[in-house]
Amino acid sequence: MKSRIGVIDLEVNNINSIINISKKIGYDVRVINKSNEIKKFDKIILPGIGNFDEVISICKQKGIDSELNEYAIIREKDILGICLGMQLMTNESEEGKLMGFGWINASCKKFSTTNDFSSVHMGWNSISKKSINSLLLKKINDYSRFYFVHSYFVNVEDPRIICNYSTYNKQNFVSSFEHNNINGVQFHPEKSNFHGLNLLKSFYEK
Amino acid sequence: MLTPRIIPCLLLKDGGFYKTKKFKNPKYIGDPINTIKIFNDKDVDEICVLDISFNSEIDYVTLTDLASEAFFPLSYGGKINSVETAKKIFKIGFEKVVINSSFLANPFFVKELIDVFGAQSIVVSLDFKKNIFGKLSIFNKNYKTVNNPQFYLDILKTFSPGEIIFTSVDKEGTYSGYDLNLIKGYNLDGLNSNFLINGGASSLNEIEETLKNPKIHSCMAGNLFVYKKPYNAVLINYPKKY
Repeated sequence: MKSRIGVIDLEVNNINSIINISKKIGYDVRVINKSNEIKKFDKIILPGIGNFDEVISICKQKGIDSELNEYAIIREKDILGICLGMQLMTNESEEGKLMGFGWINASCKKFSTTNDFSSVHMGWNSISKKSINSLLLKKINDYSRFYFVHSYFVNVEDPRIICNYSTYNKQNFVSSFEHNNINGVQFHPEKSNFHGLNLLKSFYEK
Repeated sequence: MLTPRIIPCLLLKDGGFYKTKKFKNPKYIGDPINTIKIFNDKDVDEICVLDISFNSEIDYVTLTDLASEAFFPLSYGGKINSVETAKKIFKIGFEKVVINSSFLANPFFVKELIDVFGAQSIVVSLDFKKNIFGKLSIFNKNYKTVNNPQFYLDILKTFSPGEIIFTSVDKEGTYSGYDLNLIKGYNLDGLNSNFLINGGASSLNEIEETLKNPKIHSCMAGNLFVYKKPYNAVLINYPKKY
């Protein structure tokens, strides 16, 4: 039986891209609007476009934070954070004052601005060689290109969960991590065409 | 390494894609869904869709179909004049909205959008046109008035959108080469945005050369990716890079 996959609707982000690309590879991804629906799913995607504090507040208001905590930490079910969704899994972010979910020991920092580089890292960038045996990236070659849009990056404390890095404006940052059932990618697989398709497929089949 | 983007710019009208020359004489290119599917297969970096129709309504039906087939970043411009319309576009599956006339009419509308959606999702597009004395001014479709580009660029410095598209109206669809003066000719210090050049791309070699300039982050083109020379037959194409 295929696993039941859901994507959390955080109001501020575009979840249709994730639903569309999943349909292409034969997966029917459902939108999760209410916190009590979370437990019905086998795999969850936590998407992300938006502001850290704003999204954390929405999660708190809807009771999504405690349900997700039960889902990911107590029941250890698979979850994939994309972009801001990955950043929400950390302790804190320079973007806001509120606490993150704190599932991984990490904090989010802002890119510095220089003359030829804006603080927004936007576009196609390559990922480094995998440093751990990754289930998510098993079908993806080292140095493949993914699409990024973000101004903050995740500074992960434990090197054992870091899968690979990317570089923007001389700053190395973590582009994906895997900590058992908790996965995070800084890039947007739903907008990264073939590599994105392969990554999501690996997550769904995991 | 972050690679500069090469972005086909496609013009939407009456549910079809068109291509113009100097913003005039729209010629039919093809069905949007098919075109998008071809670009998917060619692993395109990104696509920018601009509505050039005179309708007052946004063609949400075509945009929804189009977004459901695009597995790469998409931006849309045309008739976005409120936070609500922008929200609808994002919801359909577009990453970025392109603002042109609404910015000229009320520059602070762009700031409002940035506050709600974040700078990375907001693109400002400026159309440059030479007057009879050869001086560049901002072309304003609604009022046909001309304004000093530096005036608008200085306003943009106060809230830096994610990207700014510099389009040459005189070059668009002519294959005569980009007008780099659109970017080089103005003071852009303090503008924390990505700069995109558009209008007149003559060849992939030219694009490659243009992207060596660190100030230019991406190149846009229309004709180059939809026509095949020498007879300008419609043929969707895109460089294979990797």
